[in-house]
Amino acid sequence: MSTSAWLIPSFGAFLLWGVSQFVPKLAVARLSPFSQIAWSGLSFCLLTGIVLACTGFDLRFDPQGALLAWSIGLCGFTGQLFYVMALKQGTVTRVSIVTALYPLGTTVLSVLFLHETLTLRQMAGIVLCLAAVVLLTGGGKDD
Amino acid sequence: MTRQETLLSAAALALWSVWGLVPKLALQSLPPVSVLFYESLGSCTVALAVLAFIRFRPDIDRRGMALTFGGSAVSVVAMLIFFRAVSLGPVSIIVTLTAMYPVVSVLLAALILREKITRRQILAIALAMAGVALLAA
Repeated sequence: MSTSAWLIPSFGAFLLWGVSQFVPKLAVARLSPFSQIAWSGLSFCLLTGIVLACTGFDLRFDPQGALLAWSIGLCGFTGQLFYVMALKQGTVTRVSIVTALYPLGTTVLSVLFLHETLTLRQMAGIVLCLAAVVLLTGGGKDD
Repeated sequence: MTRQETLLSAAALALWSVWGLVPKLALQSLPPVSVLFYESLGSCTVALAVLAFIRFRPDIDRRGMALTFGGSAVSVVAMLIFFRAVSLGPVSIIVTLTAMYPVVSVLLAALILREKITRRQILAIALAMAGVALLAA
């Protein structure tokens, strides 16, 4: 498998996620955070319906898997609501960087619940992330 | 950062931490498109709860709604492209690369909204990106 086969879609996801986390700042000037989340949730369902139609409605069911996947939407969208509410008050620079540190929380949860071990490299990553949070959220002069 | 902004960002970060963990478990028993479908039901649950909270009277603004729809479309395409990339290449490198997405958001904010980026913020961005790269690697 050539590198470009996965590098191009990875770069595409990187660009598109960056755009998708910037757009709410533009929309929140015209819609309240609650309205934006309501419209966004309904749009997401409509778009998923289109994706399903394009893939021939090949839908599988597994009770545990479905419940877990349902909770992804629950956590993701409730998180998005808080993200938009924070954007309403702050700047994209601060809010997007602080919230993008979620791999830090995911790593801690993986250690606690999946009993994954933490490597020295990951520990160094946690320290750097915490330093970034202190710099972005801490008091004092900005520059 | 104000206290309220910090608390809201922390709440989003905490929920997204769980959001980052659960797909690993859900994808063990379901294919990506099925996960996307059940995930959309979860999103719809939140949307309906929020709609009930605002007594089914959301703001109606064409441009705001178009922006929101556009943002959702970009997000769904990004998710599918991400699943595609993961099925073709090394997960650790792909997760690291895509986790750098705030760089794009910050650049767009600087270009379009003229948000000022201070030296302290540039240092924080560099530390955050390096930290996420080490965590995801």
